[in-house]
Amino acid sequence: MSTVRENESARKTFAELYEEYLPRVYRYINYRINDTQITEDLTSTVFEKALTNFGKYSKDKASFSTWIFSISRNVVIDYYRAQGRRQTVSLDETTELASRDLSPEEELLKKEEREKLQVYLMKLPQDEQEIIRLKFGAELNNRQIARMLGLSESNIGTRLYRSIRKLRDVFQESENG
Amino acid sequence: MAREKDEEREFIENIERLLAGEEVTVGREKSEDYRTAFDFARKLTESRSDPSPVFKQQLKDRLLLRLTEREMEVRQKVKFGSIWEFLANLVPRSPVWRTAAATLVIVLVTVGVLWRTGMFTREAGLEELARESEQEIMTAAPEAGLKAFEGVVEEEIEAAEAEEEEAPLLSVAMSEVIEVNQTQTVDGVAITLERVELFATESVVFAFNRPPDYTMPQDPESLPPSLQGLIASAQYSIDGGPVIDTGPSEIHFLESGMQHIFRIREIISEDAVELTFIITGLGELHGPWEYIISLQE
Repeated sequence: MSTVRENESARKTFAELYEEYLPRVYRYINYRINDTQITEDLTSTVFEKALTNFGKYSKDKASFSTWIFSISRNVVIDYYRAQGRRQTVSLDETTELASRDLSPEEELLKKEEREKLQVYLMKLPQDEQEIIRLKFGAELNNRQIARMLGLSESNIGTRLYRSIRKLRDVFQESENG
Repeated sequence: MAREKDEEREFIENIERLLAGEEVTVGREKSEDYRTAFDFARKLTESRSDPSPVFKQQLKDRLLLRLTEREMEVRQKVKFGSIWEFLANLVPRSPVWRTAAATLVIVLVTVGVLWRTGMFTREAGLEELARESEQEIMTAAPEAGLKAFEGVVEEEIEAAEAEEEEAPLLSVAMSEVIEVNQTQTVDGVAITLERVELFATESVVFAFNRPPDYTMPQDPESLPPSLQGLIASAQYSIDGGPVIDTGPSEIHFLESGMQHIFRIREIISEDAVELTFIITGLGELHGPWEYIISLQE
């Protein structure tokens, strides 16, 4: 009987965590890989890994956010390693990608803007890129980001503010130029 | 400086509110720099994409199906235990019946053993062996046989229950041990990094040091002054990524010296190539004792 109750409890907990974290994991990955199909595949991989290892997860050691986004980061890293190429996308390439997209006009514009943002984001140093992805994609708070990246919480705040301004400047320059 | 810090803090708070779905307006009293930066943050938020409802539902169904499969595997193991329990209960509690059951079990086991050894296929020696078995059965205490039978049953049930307990619905065992055995010496203090054990969700690093005049403390609660505060601290980096603190070491006092145990509380990717592990301090001593560990050997 206890097994049945435990199963129900594990199922319920996992379902709740899935509802809460799926959009965040998806957005975080999509910030790094602006391709819907690959984002879906990698998001699936993250949750399958989380399901497999859920029994070993201990909330005393790390929050669920920290744990699942550590898995997400590694899944993306593994993906790029398997691809055997650097994580770079040229603006021409993204425009080409966008032009092949057959979604409605608004969706297309949004996608184009996202692609541009991704290209400009890659012009920032790696750690600043990651802070932006973890903040806007994963929606982690500064303490959680600090823990993941091994930096202090106040440092994250400073870097985030600076990175957003830098990204804004790069974006504006390219729009005007 | 203080004003900049306040502005930075307010900016971050506003972003948190924005991400929480609140309507945030930035007053005109804010600088142009602040306002445009916040507008850009808004753009970053709005440009995010959400998973499609179809994908969301399909993945959920797939994961729940997998969860169900795992639950069924666990139940199968429990059922196996229940069958043995059922068989044990089939034997009535009367001493006569129990003696008979024990004798029957011994006969069956003996016949089974003989069958397996191929004795039934060789006529020569069969009679002799049968006689020996019979002798054993006759001389063996029936109660002992019954206890052996019950022992087997209990063991099977315990094993199934233990397996159920130890195999959480979703578990993964240690995947690899990397023997390192590298010794680094700084200011005459040698620390040996012995090994790294990789688990599914974290890794554990074992280091060893023998302080001068070390003797194994009898009572770890009341350490001699020379061993007090000898906690080590360390940092690591995977493939040149961010440098992360492990926190203080756990200490095991061995006969030969002190074993320091550090935990890397993240999953090391299977494709990770190199772990740089730096013991930054040991008590009041400062390192670094640095070790480069190949993860692909």
